[in-house]
Amino acid sequence: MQIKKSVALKFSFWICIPLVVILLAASALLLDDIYKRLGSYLDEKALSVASETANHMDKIFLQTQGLAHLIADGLETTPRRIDEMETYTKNRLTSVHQYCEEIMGVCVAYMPGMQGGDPNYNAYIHLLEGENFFFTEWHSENIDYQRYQNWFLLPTIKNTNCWIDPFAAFDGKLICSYSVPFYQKIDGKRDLGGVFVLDYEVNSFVNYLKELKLPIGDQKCTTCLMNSFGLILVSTETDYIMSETLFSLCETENGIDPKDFEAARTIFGRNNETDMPSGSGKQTFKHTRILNGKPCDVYYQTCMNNWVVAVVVPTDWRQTTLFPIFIKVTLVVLGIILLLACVIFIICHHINKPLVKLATAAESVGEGNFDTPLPEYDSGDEISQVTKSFGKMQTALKDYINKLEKSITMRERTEGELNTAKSIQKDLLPHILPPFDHYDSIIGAADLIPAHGVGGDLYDAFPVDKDHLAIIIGDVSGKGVPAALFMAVTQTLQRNIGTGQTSPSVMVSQLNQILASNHETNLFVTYWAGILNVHTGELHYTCAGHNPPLIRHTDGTVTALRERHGPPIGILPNKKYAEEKIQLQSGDMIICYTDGVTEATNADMKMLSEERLIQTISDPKIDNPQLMLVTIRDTVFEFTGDAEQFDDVTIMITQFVKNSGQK
Amino acid sequence: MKLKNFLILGLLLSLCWICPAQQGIYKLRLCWIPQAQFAGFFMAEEEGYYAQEGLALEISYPPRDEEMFDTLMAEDADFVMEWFLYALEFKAKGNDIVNVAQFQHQTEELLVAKKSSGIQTIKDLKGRNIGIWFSPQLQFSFKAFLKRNEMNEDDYHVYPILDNISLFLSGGVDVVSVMSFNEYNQILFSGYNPDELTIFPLKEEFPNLVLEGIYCRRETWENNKQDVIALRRATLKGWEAAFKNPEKALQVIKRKCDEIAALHNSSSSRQIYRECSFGYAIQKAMLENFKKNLSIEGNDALMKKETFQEGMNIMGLDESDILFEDFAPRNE
Repeated sequence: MQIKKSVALKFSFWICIPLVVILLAASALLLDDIYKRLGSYLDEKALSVASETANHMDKIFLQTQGLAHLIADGLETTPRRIDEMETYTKNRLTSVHQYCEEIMGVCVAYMPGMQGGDPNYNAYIHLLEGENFFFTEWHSENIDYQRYQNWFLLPTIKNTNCWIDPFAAFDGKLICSYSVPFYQKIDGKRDLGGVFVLDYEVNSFVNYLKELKLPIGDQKCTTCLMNSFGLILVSTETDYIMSETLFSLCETENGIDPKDFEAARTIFGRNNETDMPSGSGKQTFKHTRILNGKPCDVYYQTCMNNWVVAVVVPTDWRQTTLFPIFIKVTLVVLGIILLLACVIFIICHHINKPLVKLATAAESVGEGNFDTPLPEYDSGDEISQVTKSFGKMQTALKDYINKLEKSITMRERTEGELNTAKSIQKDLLPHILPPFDHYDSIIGAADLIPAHGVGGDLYDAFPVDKDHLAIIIGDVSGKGVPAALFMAVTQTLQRNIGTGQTSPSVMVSQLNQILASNHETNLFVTYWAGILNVHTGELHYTCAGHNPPLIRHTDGTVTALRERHGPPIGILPNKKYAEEKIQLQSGDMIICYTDGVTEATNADMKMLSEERLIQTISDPKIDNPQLMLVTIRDTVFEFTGDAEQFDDVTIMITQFVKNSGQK
Repeated sequence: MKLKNFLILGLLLSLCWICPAQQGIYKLRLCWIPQAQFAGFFMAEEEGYYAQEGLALEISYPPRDEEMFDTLMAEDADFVMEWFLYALEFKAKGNDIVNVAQFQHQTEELLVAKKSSGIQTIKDLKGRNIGIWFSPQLQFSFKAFLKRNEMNEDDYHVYPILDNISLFLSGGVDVVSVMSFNEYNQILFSGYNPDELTIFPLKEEFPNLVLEGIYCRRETWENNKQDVIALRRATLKGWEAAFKNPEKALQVIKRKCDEIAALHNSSSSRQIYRECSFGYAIQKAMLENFKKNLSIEGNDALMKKETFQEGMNIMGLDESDILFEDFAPRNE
C-alpha cells in the first residue's frame, strides 16, 4: 500500500511549523521591545565607557592640579631667587614626575617686579626627556609674546587656573599645560606674582583610548578628548588631532547638516547660559566625517576641566551587535525544532508501523479475504486496541457474510416461488377480454396492477349461458401470498358455481357458504357479481361489501350502483345475499374497480376519491372500454406520482352495445 | 684672430655660467604652511600652468619666526608673500622691494566679539581686552581703525594673538582680530552661529586696504618682467582652476600638508605644523571665501593706486617716502 502522506510526517510538520510560526511571531512582537531594551542597555554601557574614561582623565587632572596648586602655594610662601631657579625647578620636576610620570615639564614665570624686585619678565623652564633634564630661562623687559603665550596670558588675564590646549613640544610630542597664577606679598600687598605651569604629555591618553572597547560585541570605539570648544586634542583617529573640531567634522562635501551642528552645540553647551559643556549624554550624527560619513552615536562625558570625552560608535552598531546574536539564537532554536521534528518523525514512524500492516490486512479483508491474518501487536495502547477491535470486526464480518449468503439464498428461493405464484395467479385471471368471441354486444377491457408480487384483487368475466355474461370483481382482505391464495380459491370457485347460474345472489350466497365454512384464516373478499343479459342489457347484480361499480352512460352521466346486499363473502356462513337489476342502454359502460383505485394515495397522503374517478369517466368522448381503462389507469398513476403503490389497482370495464346477439 | 675669437667666446660662456639664476627657475616663499589661502599657486603648479609659461617655481614655507623680507634680501627666495603694510614699512626704510602681484584687492580683516559679552557697537569696545594678531599688518590696521573711529589706544588692553584663537574662545579677550577666510571660520567651527557674533569688518573702514601680496627685489623684476607677468597669469589661472574644481584643489592642499608633515616629523617645525594645520572643513571654508572675494575676471593682479594710497595713509607715509610706481611698477 502506497502511503503518500505519512502520519509521522504530518505530526512532525504540524507540531514544528506552528512552533516556528510562534517563534517568529514572538520574535516579531518581542524584537522591537528587546531591541529597545537592549539598545538602552547598550547606551548605558557606552555611556559608562565614556564616564569611566572621563573619570580616568579627571584623576590625572586632579592629580596634576593638586601638585600645581601645592607648588604655587609654595612659591607664595617661599619666594625664590633668580639664582636658585634652576635647582628649584629641577627639584620640583623630579618630585612631581615621581607622582605622575607623564608630567615632563615645569615652568615658573614671574610678572615684572615680582621676583625679588627684578623689573623683568623672568621665566624658568625645566623639561625632562627620558633621563635628561633641559633648563631654559628668559629675562626681558617687555613681554616676549613669542614665548609668553596662552599658558601665561590666560591665567594672568583671567586671574584663574587654566588648562591650556595642547601644543607641540620641541620633539613633536603633544603637551598640555596646567597654569596656576601664584601671588606674592610685596610691601604687605598681595599681588599676582606670576604663573606656575606643569606640562603634561598627552600621548599616554592616546594609548588608553586605543584600548577602549564597548563591553558588548567587542565593538571598537573611536574615542576623542576634546577641549571645551570641540577641538580634538587626543584621538584614536590621529588625522583629526589639533586640526578638526567636532563642529568642523560636521562639514562634508555637501555642506553641514544643521541637525549635526546643533547636536555638537548641545554637547558643548552652546545653548547653555555658561556656554560651556557639562554633564553627559548621547547625540546622534547623521553625516559627520568622524566615521567617514557613517551615521554615528556620540556618547560623551564632561571632565572636571570642561574638556569632553567622546566615545563614537556607528549608529548601526546595535544592529551589528544584536543581529549576529539574534541570528545565532534563531539558528539554535530552529536547529532544536528541526531535531525535534526528526525525533517526532522517527517515533511516529515506529508507532505507525503496525497501523500500516493493519491497513494492508484491512485491504485484503476488504477484497473478501476474511481469513487474512492481522499483525500481532499487543502493546496495550490504542493501536493494540484498534488491532483487537479490527480482529473482532473481521470475525463478526465473516459470520455476517456467511449468514447473509444463506439469507440471500433463501430469499432467492422465496422470490422464485413468489414469481411462480404470481404467474399462476395471473393465469387465473381472464386473458382474453371481450368482445368475447361469443357476444358482439359486449366490449370489455381489464387490468390488474398488483402492489406487490402477488395480490388479493380478482376480476372475471365468463359466459353463464348463451344469453348471459357473468361480470365479477373482488378484493381479498390482506396482502401478499395469503391473499393471493384466497383469491385463487375464490377465482376457481366462482366459475364452478357461476357457470349456468343466472342469479348473482345465488351464486354469491353459494360462494360465501363455501369460503366462510372452509378456512381458518379470517380472510374475506369484498365481492360484486353481475349477470348481464347480453341481448337486452338487463343487469342483475349482487354486492357483498365491494366498491359500487359505476355505470357511465353515453352522455357522460354516471350512475353508481350503491346497493349492498351483505357483508364481504367468507365471513358469515349461511348468509343469503339479495340482488338488484338495472337496464343498460346501448353504449353504457359498467366500470368495476377495487379500492386500490379510489384509495390510491399520493405523496401528500391524499386519496384519489370516488368523486375524482367519476369526474374522470364523465367525459363522453371516452367511448370505449379500452380508452376508458387507459384513462382511469393513467389518472390513478398520474395522481400517485412517485408515491409507493400500497394496494392492488384493478379496473374492469364492460360496455353493452345493443346489436346482434350471440353467434 | 682665431685665438681672440676663442677667448671672446670663452668669456661669453663664462658670463652665462656666473649668471645668478637660470632663466625661468624661481623660488617663491609663501607666508605660511600649506592651506587653501594658496590654492591658486598649488593648482597652477598641479595643472602645469607654470610649466606652460616656461616657469619652474619652487614653493616653500617659512618657519614660525622667519622675517620674510630678510629672506628676500638675503636672496634665499626670489619672491615672498608678505603683508602690504609691513612691505610699506620695509620699503620706507630704504629697502628696494617691489610689489609684483596683488591677487586680492580688499582686506579680509575682522574684529569679532561674542554678542553674549555685551559688545554690539564699536563704542562697546572701550575698556575691553582685545586680541590682535601678532603681525605688523594687523597691529597697524587696528591702530588705524581706532584712530578712524576716534578711539584712544589707552582705553583698550591689547594682547597679541600668536597661533590660535583660544584666548578669545576661553574669554581671555573679548574681541579678537581674525581673517574672514581663516580664524573667523575657526570661531564658527567652535560651535558658534554667525548671529551669535558681532563683527566689525575693517574693509568697511578701509575699502582699499589689502593683505598679502607678492614681493621681490627690484632687480628680479627688472630682469625678469615677462616671467613675473607669466607668474601672475599662471597663478590667476590656478585660482580659476581651484574655484572650478574645489574638491581637487582640496585634495592637492591635503597632499601638500601631508608632505610637509612628513618632513617635519621630529623637528621644531613640527610644532608649527601640528598647531596650525587645518582640517578639511577649514580648508573648504577658506577656499569658498576666496572664491567669493577673489574675482578672476578683469583681475590684472596689479596693485591699485587707491590701495597704495590707503596704505600710505594708514602708515602715515607720503610720496617723499615712497612713490607708487616704485612700489608697484606697472607692466611695460
